Amino acid sequence: MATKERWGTRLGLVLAMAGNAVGLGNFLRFPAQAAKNGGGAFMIPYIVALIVMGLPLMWVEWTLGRYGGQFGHHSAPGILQSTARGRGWKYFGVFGIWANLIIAAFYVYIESWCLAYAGFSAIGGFRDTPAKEFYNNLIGASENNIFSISIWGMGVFAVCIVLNVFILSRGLARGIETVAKIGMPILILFAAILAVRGLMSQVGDEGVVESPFVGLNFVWEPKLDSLANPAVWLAAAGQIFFTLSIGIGSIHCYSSYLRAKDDIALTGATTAWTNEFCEVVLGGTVLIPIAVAYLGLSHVADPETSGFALGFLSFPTLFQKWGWLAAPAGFLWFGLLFVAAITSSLAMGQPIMAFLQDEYGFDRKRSALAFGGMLLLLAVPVAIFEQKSFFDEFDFWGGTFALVVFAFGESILFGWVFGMDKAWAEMNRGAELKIPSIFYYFIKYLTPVFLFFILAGSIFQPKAGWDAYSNALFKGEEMPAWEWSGSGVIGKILHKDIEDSSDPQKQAFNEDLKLVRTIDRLVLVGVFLFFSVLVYFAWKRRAAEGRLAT
Amino acid sequence: MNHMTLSAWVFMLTVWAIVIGCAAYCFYKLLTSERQLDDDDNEDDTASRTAG
Repeated sequence: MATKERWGTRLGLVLAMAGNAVGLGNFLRFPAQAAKNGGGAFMIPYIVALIVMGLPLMWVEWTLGRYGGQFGHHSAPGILQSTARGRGWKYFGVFGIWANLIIAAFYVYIESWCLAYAGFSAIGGFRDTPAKEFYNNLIGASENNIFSISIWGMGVFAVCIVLNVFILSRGLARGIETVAKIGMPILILFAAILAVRGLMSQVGDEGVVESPFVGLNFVWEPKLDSLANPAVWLAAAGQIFFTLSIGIGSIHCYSSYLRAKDDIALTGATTAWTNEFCEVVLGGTVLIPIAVAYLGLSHVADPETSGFALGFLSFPTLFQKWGWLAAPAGFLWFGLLFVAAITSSLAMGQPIMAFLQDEYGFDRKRSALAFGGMLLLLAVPVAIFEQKSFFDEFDFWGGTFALVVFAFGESILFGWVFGMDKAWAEMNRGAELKIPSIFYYFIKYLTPVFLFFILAGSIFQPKAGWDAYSNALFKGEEMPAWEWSGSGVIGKILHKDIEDSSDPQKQAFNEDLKLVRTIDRLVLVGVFLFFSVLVYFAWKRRAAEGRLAT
Repeated sequence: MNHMTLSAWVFMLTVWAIVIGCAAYCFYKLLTSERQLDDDDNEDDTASRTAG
């Protein structure tokens, strides 16, 4: 059954699409990645990756979505199938609904933390409670325990799930678009206020140990020698992936509600540059400068310090130095993170709802409830087990690896199976912005090659880092022995990120962790198979109803 | 302000100028465009074609 939903306005669509892209990564991940990978020099591979891979893939996904929408498809299986006209692509398209559910299961959990932190900040709770203590209570953390249960943490999580389901049940224009129209300006305003206030801090103010401009310098000082390091290029490409929400299936879904002659070139570019504004200009000016001002450069420069830890464990305490502004600042910071998160999580629900509506005739409310039910099933283990198990595994397999696999597949589909000439004509139909013809060659050749290297780089990852091998080849340094890194696909499969411990309690925990991880990988495979079966029966049903042309 | 090196300023302002310039240009074109999403209701609607 085809849905008749439509976007209300172009601006609403742009803000909803930008809301999908602007997420926690813009404010927590980007500044930490930039600082860790060469400062200003990181921006060179970052911008190269944006132009060679990010923008082309974004236009590819917009085009695929709009094209599939003409056949009444609003989720990746149908969109890819109608593009390729081949039997197997609908199953590859399962990635485009599976990944959304897997990501939503842990992403909405983080969203609930933002909500809890925002509320606690607003009532001035961090005056007396250290952020670390609040965080541990929120997630129910206890050392060497495979379970991590917090009743009130799960309560806030449930509130967020209900909120997502409620907004989704209101539909595209009245739900998602309305939230984006309200949320995006608020997010930009909150970030701008924090950035300006943070940069106004001076040595001599209470608690300020360094100028925030030292932090800004740390983010932007170009360390050009880092350009020779392949790991920096991989990190930049990875960041572009996360920030534009490529390879998930949500862009396809949103653009599938456009008409055949609606512009996608200008609309797509506008969402991408809005996201870049939120990431590069706002995201790069809040977290690191404020953290450096109050914690010092040496603390922030520590490679072990992540943007996530700074944002959740350090910021609430730092804000207490801002006097009467402490509570509002905490609310602004976690409020903006919450808005960034919810506009993204809504985009994860819509493709699953669209699939159920298109293929099984669900109405909007029923499909929203079905999404909520599926989300709840996966959310429970995320919330009750220690973060290194379900939470991290969902993040890695659904939120990292699957995106690259899906994007690589769709780039081949678009440029080579659909045919680049046809694809280019489809992309430029109704365009209000002339896409430079160089992108024709980028999409056909460069983007798949770039993605291939990212995919290979994420599968085969050495513990010593690629830079060690690059130095051995080009600088004559000693060649390190090969060992799999725990952050690569093969290393993950082999549990290389869990190190044996001489402490019996810790070792027992490690064994429990390996067992739970094996279970959650089975869950991941099971969910994928579940959607594949739904796709199989949906197409049988289409065939029986005579809704297949081939 | 003098805690930043010249090269950091140059990098930051160059990238900011590119990002803000592109975003502003796109929004200008979008908001001054006379075309809206519902301009042509007669074209192919969803489910008007059938395909695998």
